Amino acid sequence: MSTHHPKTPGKRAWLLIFFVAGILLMFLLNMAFGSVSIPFDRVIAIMTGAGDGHQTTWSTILMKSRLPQTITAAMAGGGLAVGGLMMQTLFRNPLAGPSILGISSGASLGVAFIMMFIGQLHVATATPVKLYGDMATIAMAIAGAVATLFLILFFARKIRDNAMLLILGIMISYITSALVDILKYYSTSEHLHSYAMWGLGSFSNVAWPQLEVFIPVVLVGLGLSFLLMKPLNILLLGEHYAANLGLNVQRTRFYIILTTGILTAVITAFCGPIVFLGLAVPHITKMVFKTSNHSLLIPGVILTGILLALACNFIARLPGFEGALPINVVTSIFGAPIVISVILKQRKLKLSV
Amino acid sequence: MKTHLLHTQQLTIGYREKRKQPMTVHSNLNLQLRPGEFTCLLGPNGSGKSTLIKTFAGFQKSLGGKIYLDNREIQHFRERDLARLVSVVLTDKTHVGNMTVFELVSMGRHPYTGFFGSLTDGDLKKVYHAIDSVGMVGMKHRLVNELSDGERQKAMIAKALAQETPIIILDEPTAYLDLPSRIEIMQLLHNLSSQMQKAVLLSTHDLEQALRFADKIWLLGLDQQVQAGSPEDLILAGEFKKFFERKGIRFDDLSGTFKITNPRARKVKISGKGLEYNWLLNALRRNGYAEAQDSDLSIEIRKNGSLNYVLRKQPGKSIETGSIENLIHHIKSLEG
Repeated sequence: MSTHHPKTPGKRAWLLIFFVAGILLMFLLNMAFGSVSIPFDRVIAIMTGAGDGHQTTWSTILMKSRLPQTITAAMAGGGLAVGGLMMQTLFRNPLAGPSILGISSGASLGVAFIMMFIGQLHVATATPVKLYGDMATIAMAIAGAVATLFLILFFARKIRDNAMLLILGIMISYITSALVDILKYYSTSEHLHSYAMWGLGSFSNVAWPQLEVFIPVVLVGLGLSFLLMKPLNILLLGEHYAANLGLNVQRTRFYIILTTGILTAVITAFCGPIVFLGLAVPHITKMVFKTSNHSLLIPGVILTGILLALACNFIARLPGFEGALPINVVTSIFGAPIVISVILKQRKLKLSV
Repeated sequence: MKTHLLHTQQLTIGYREKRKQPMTVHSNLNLQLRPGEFTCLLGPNGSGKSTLIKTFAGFQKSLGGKIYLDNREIQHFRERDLARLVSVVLTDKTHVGNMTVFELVSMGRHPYTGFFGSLTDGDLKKVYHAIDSVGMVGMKHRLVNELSDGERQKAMIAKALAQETPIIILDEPTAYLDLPSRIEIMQLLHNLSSQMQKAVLLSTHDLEQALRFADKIWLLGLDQQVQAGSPEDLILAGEFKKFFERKGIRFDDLSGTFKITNPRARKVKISGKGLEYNWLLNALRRNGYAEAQDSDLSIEIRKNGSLNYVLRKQPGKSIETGSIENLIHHIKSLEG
């Protein structure tokens, strides 16, 4: 006879403390390690403004490079995770992620356009174009993602069936990928290389001016997800039961897609198409917190997403790996075994939405 | 006493498809659900039971006519107000990981909760009461995924109770259940409807349980006008025969059960009585024999000390055997 031990509020409070402590630790590690190692006490001193002004190189590294990168990683991790959770609940599909509706493919298409455009302008330049951090790239990525988002929202109003909508999203992904392939065909190999680099994802190319856009938009997306707590819970019972409980399913779906779309669009535009986090983090959170209640799951996935993204960023920047490991490689190579081990440890628990 | 919670006027139900003529399943429906009454909706597959239930629940629009809930037309309700009037238990299987019975039943409170869906003390009390009403207090922390089909249906009924609606509509809630669970659910629903003065409408294929527990029966047929009434009146009016009899299947008005008829059945004379007679008849029917007053084939149940079945085919000797299994075997070899 199997018995279920729900996590008591006390246990959940400990989990919360564990996550916050983990995030703080990861934050410090992210700040301290890299091509140049900086002692923890100096990191804290510089961060709190108690620096004596002697280590200007260190404070430049910390404030100009590592701090924005760490903030970017944390926000991207939290945003993608909550987007993944919402898609999994909406489509009642454990394989859904924030990019399932083709929004990140839309961003890729925008970037591919830029690549092609730059390629046409600078035929003579042999040096690879740096796509990251370039405002034109970000603008095009956002344009591509938002265009796809509007397309999906348009279909969402027309089509009642969720499974159909999911298939439509996947079809849109195919079309955008095909368009990207056409653009690639007409691009020079140097530009192809920089596009490929963009596709591997990075947290390191968002500087303070970009963060002024990135942070508020992600915060808006996260805030919207908190407002969707109750509708997401009701949707767990399926559309018919949800409608019978007084939920306007069509309108709720619109808001869920819009929120996920905003998060995915802005994160993909600034960090490239980050894979894995959005799909895996919700599963880890559900297994750790042992609940289906979104008032716990939403803060839970945000914390887990931040923790995991910071851990991946830390690994990617470990001395020796510097520059060699793009973020998508780390999330998959180090993240997937974590998920596998969690699944094997809790064989009884099915991956569920 | 309120006369009815739900009534329809000239209601037409069916499907509307794009660029096609609407497909009418039933028209001219004039039906009522009253508080404290347990109504069962019976009818063969494809007779429109689900369509009617979906229309009442507001999941699909009617093709014509009117549905009144509490004397107000259904389309004039806002979603949230409708959710406080009609609750449903559906055939949709809900696969939710990590959700406890308590959390599932709490969902029923959402038409009453605020923006973030947090439960007040009053809500919690109602959830506990709903769980208690279906007898699941000991299981409230069990995971819904780990429940048996019958337990899951009871949890869903508790959710409907927590929703505190005067009308509860259930779409084949006993379909996957074993017989004891089926009886348990039907009894539970009957008691809930009479004790809490709720109007309960349930669709089912289980005619025997419907006859036993329903206060009202709605008979839905293919290309037939709907019949509504108490089960007894419908039987006495011969409606069950009209709706369910087909070639080889006869509805027995006396017992309220179906009998298999076989016009080419071989006649056999049986002498004897009691429980053995009853089950011997069952075995013979299954094998294509019917009882007759006179036949060259005869079976005698002899109970003097030990039980024996004596089989005779005139002219010829008799065969005695102790079990019905062997008897059937002998009959078959005797008849070639």
